[in-house]
Amino acid sequence: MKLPFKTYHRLIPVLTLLLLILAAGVQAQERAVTIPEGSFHSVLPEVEGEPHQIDAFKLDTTAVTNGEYLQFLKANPEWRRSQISPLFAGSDYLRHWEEDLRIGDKESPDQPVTRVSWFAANAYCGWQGGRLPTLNEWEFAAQAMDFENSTEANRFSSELIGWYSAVDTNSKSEVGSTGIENQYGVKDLFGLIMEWVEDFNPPVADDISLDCGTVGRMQGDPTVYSYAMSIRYITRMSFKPKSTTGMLGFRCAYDMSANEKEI
Amino acid sequence: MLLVSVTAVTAQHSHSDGHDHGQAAHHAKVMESDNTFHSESLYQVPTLWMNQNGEEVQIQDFAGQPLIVVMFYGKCTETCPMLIQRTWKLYSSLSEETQEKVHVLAVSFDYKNDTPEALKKYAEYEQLDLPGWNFVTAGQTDIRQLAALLGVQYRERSDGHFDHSNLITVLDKFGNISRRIEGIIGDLNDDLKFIESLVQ
Repeated sequence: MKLPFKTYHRLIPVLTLLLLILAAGVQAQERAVTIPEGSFHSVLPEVEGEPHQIDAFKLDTTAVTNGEYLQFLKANPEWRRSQISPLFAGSDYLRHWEEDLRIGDKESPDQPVTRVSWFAANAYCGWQGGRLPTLNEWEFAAQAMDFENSTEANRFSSELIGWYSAVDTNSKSEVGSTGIENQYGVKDLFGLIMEWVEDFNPPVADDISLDCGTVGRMQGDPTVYSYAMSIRYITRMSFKPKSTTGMLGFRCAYDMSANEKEI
Repeated sequence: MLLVSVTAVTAQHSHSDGHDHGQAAHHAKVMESDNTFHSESLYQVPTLWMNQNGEEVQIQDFAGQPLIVVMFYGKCTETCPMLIQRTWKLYSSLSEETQEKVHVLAVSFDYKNDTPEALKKYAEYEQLDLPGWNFVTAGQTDIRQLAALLGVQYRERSDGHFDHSNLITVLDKFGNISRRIEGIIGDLNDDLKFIESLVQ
């Protein structure tokens, strides 16, 4: 399904410049971008009136691809399909790959890697000198979208809800292909896959659980994404750390002090 | 010295082998192609924890003996002392013989504030700075990974306190999760019998 996105014409000069840089053989493209500090309100109950403070951090612009994950497996045999401990992943781990070190015909190297457990995602990001983004960091980045007006924002939200209710794991496109990008250049936070975060399953007291009632109440919230956000929180909470489903992939985050590995 | 450590490694291997047979049917296919350590034992967790005495501790250090694991944070003045006290009640109600064989690993969520020094003060304050009791810290990712393995949920609130599950986990002498004791109330008789049975 196609989601609305920023108008392309504004990007044309930038894209042209990028092409020129690439043509000159300069590897100028950075894997991660800085998300400056800020605060936001999540759908989880907070200490009264206080938004979540987020320190500046770096976030991958795209989800980790099959091709990138393959490099990780080459360097870390214990995470290969035939080697991984049942402590760290379910039996569907990388099931769609042909072999331990062969992606095969079902997927391309540029599609986001899925069927990876939370443990595996953690290990990959650690190997890259980073970590998984926290739930709040991910959500903060996801809120940083520019819209022309509130009509466009609402249209985006309702299409997003449609996407969440029917994530199609059999037709994942390649990373960077959704056309959805936040104001810092982070791509595909919506419309491609669900993504692991460090604390995907926060404790929620029974009386404030994110049930349908909560979701319903969120519709009146002024922030654009509350309703879709609630669906996302609830979906995440249903994951187990060993879950290896076809819709679940990840991207990495880095502390500002960390030196992410060159790819 | 070298001989001692080699013996220790061999001993651990025989334990894990013993366990692998139990899992063999489940993972027969994997086992055929590969003889590496395949089980759900928490001895595979590579984290080096730092305890209240500044000593490094790994879960596999406790191989061959049951381990009681509890997650808490030192700043907590509400449920955590109750959870830690419940852990003490469990431990202290075991027979003296069993107590000598059972260790406690109390892992803090609060990697920012619960330094080994802070954990030392906490242990002393709770009168639990005892042999066999390790109050430990590690990096954020390590703590989160252990919580994920145990099924402990926690979240730091914006006021610096944590919402968290109240759970005591018992690992058997192979490092497998063998009992989960949830909540901070209720009698522990069955749990005590179970732990006593683990050291038989």
